[in-house]
Amino acid sequence: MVEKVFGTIQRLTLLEPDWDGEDAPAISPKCLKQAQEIVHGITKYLNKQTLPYPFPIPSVGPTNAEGVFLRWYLMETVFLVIIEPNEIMLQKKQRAKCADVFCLPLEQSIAYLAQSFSELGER
Amino acid sequence: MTSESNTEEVYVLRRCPPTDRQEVINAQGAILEIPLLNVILPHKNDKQGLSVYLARQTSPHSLLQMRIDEIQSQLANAASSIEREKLLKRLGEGTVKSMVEAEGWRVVRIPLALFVRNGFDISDADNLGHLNIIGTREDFKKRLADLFGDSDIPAEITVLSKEECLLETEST
Repeated sequence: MVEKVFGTIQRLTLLEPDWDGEDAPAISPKCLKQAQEIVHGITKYLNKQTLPYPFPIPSVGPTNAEGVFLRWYLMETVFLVIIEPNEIMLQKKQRAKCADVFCLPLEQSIAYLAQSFSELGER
Repeated sequence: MTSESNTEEVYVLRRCPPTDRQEVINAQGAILEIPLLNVILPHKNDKQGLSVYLARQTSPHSLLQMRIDEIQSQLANAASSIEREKLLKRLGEGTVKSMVEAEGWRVVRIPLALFVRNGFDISDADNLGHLNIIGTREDFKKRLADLFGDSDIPAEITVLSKEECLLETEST
């Protein structure tokens, strides 16, 4: 399952410059790598836990500034990660509440997401 | 034009590139999506924030026609055959109808109050109804977070239908 996500992220390299018809650049290799590292890191962490649900599969997509976005819907919570060359931005949004938004370095982003997924699984 | 009371029921339009291009979707598999959030994040061509047009002054059709005119103008000045080829590919059939019906372009309508409520300054509109929502890409990502997180199509943003995109008359 995780390989499938990796494959989808990798396929973003197929998007050539101007993929949106508005002059969007190609996706940055650095962002692709970071996206894969995030998925890999979360999987590694969650494999050590016993979750009541299968590994959550994110939606994957390009941003128009060389980046990658990953989005997970878990229970009633949405996690959105926007990985762009200059920053990784995380958003956690629970229904009817304001979103928590913050920027973290890669390792801390992985830790935050993995722990959040794990905590949701324990409820 | 910065107070919320002045912007109630004022809508702005922005072009929305195809989010379901078959060649992309087929290449990527079912879970890849081209997120709508790209539409409300300033693009590298947006010089002073997010470039939008007042719905009461610009029709969806005119907004799409502007892209065609811009490409045709670039084509007239293209310096190399590579550039020309790229522009011709971007132009496609060169009609609004084909942009909407064959390529999947749309126009989104956004209440201006959404930006004002989130602390953005708005420039004055020019005589074509063009204005800028002033801010950096980071400002938009952070301040509009609630909008992005909820769903692919936030409730306050309307993606106009094919028929609405072909309308040549302005709305409110």
